[in-house]
Amino acid sequence: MSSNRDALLKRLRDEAVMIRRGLWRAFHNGGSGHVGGSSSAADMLSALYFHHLRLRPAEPDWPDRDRFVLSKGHANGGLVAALARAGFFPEDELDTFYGFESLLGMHPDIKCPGVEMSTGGLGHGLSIGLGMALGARLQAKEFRTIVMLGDGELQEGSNWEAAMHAAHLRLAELTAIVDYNKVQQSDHVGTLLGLEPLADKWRAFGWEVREIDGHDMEQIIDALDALPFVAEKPSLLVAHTVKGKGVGFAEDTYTWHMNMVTDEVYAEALAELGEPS
Amino acid sequence: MRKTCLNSVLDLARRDARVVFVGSDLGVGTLDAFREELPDRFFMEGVAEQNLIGVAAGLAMEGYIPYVNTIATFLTRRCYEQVAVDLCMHRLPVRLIANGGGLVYAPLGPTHMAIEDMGIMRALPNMTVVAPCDAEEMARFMESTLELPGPCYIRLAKGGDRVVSEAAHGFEIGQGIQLRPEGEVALVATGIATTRALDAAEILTAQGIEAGVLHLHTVKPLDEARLLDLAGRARAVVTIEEHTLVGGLGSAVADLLVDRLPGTAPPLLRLGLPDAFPANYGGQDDLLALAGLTPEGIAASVGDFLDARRAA
Repeated sequence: MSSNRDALLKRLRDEAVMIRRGLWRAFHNGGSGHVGGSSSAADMLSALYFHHLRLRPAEPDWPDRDRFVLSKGHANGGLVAALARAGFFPEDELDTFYGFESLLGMHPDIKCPGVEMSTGGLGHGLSIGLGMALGARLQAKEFRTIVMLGDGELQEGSNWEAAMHAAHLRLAELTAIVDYNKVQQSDHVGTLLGLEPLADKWRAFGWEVREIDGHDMEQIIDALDALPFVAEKPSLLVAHTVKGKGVGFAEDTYTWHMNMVTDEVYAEALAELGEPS
Repeated sequence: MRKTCLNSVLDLARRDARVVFVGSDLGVGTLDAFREELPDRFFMEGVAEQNLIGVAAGLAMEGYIPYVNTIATFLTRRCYEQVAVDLCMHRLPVRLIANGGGLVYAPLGPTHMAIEDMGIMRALPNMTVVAPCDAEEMARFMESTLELPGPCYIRLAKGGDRVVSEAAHGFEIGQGIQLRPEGEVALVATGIATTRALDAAEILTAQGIEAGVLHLHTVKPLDEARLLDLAGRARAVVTIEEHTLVGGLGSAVADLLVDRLPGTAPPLLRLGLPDAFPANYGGQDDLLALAGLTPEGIAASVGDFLDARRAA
């Protein structure tokens, strides 16, 4: 049992490295990208795509699949790196990032296999996920819906409309993850428009909340395995993360929310990320 | 018209398990029968339109056909990005039932008057924009909403509006209906402005000016073929709408004539509301009269326009 868990953790940590390598690869080919918010989500994307979500990469529209909506759409580099690793499309597609005929742009595009919803404007995904979860309830289907939100994104009021609504419906079929990396485009979130007390806000809205270190793979899978946290309430996971996680010069700074990825920068990033052990 | 529309939603829901109703804080009595008969597919939610459109999009992604109903201004202005991105970009079959199109809510003031709704909805790719002229036409239209692939904006009038459509005309989205035979002047109208156009045509005929009336219940997609055909024969085309002249039916027709009949298009007169938030209260009829959109006002504008053309 323990060795199984150790093997799982190793695999998920390895995939997280590959997702980070993949997102840097995509952004390098595109010339620029949202490194910060893609990297902060990478460990959770690994746990989602290689452990938690029930998916069939060869059958992306499988009706009973779990739904994952990346509401913080600017982290698409991380998402498509995970989708490529999971087999939704060849990893070489990452080299077409931003290309004229590419499946892959700065934000998730529904034409890309594995993407559930095109996003990009902030504050859309939670309501959409709510509708999907409601659809599951109405059809008595087992699939679960997970929406990943950014912290800066929570400044959009529409999220709080959806938060109220999901709790009102006691929608335990719905989970939201906040990638709480504390940094947005132009400054630290707390400086620009702070969210604290974030967990208490969601609790007050009627959600069951857990807080984890969003880079600690054990904590991530324990939280995902515990979903829904309680019956008759939507679940919220506040994942404390580091913007740009994995590459020192990109960590915890708004300059790497979105930045150019030159050959030199790319080489430096890959060297620091290393290969799976 | 609203009652007919909402009753139609219930009829459709009885026949088709994909149909759900989503309302936003609508008063007692609205669709009580729906709530009682199909409670699982009836959602009366709070005043949170951005969320409602997103939820409707999520439901549509799961195979449902949501009919979303609230006041027109809140269904268009408040949640425009959700309508554009969640519905239009994904081409989802969500029906937006907009109460109080145009000046219906005159006593409530400009916050509640949808004077540019068709213009901003028409500007969105993949959106269908429909404004039936009376309750009977609404009933015929609603039948066609089940299989329409993308989103649709449905503009409701006040209710109790005079019935001028006929069953024999049928209803096909995007197909105009010639309600009065072609004359030297082609009046083109949408929604309840069509009724005023018909009355104006009577007045014009009495004055010796034969005026036909083309009713365009669908503002988008525009019935281009019929309009071009008509424009090829008419001495003048006159558009009439309960909407500002920015982006509505008149703009759509102007775009078409300029693009497709360069140098040969007949003169076009566009009648509608000024580019201004209404500054008065009163009733819908009062504000329409202020804008010159009574049958007499329309007839006079058309007469003046033709006189000016003759003089030119």
